[in-house]
Amino acid sequence: MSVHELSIARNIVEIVSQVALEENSPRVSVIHLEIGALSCVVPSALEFAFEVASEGTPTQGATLQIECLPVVVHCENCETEVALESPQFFRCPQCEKPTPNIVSGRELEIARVELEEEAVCAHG
Amino acid sequence: MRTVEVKQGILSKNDRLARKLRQKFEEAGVYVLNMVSSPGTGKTELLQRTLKELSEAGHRVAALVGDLQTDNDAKRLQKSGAPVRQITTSGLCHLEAQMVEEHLADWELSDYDFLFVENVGNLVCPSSFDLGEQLRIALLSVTEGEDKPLKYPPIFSSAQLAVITKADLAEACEFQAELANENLRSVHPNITVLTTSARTGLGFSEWLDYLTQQRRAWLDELKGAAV
Repeated sequence: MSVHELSIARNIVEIVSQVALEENSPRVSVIHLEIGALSCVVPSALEFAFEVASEGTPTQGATLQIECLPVVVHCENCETEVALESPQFFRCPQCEKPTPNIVSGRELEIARVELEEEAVCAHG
Repeated sequence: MRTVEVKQGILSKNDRLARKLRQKFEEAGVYVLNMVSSPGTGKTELLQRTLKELSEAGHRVAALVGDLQTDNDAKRLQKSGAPVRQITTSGLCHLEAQMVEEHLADWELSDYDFLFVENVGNLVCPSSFDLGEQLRIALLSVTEGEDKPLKYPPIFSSAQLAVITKADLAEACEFQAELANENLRSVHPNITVLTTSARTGLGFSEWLDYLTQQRRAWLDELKGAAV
């Protein structure tokens, strides 16, 4: 694991713990992430880092659902937005012209979380 | 169980701080450069000569240097006469905006024209962390091989300028400049590419001209925006 995944995991824990607190939830079960192909994050490394960073917080034990997003560029020639097959080749897959205009692909975002409800005390 | 929409950037804290820094740099008129590369590409050597030559040409320069451990690089750079401060990250593989902010806290930024930030030697981690810089420079040495940009697209696609270093060794390494250019443009079609040797001074006048032009254009843009 390179250490930036740990930095990223700590930020996830901080943000999501705050959400859980505001929503009065004791535990987070799933965290949905959107990770762009240019974000430099290795999902398995992030999962491992998250296990370490989440210990003792409401996010401990939560599952990371990682959606990997491709790099999307705007091709001026085709006047359209297209996903690149690989971030190694910034060329429109349709017309093969170089396409420097990145529309998306750097995402590092928490999309949504699934929270458990506060346990209701049966003996009120 | 219920779902709550969050829609928040994971690094939004760093991004907010970087925006604050960028605004500070704009107010002070100091042009900030974030230099990234793998270890051993020659960032410090390039910077040493750059600080010296820019100072001699009358520019006010300073540098922050990031490393996991030791202040060896800061000591090397201080020989140039410019104010240099070390950021020791204690194992962290990249610089974050907060570290830059902390290390600049007592500096009068308006005393400088250029502030160079030498990131930790690493081609992966620094790419997602905005430091509030105006220009990101990715270095590639002729000893590393022409295919580095293809192996690490994010960092080269996030940099506006690529500087090929140690050009004095190009022949010995059988470095294929054209192939390197092609690979850089493959991951970033608009990237500017300069070739330098800090040892011989090759390419230095173009490099220094580029820096001063970029700063001037940036200042003009700021003035335009203020009107």
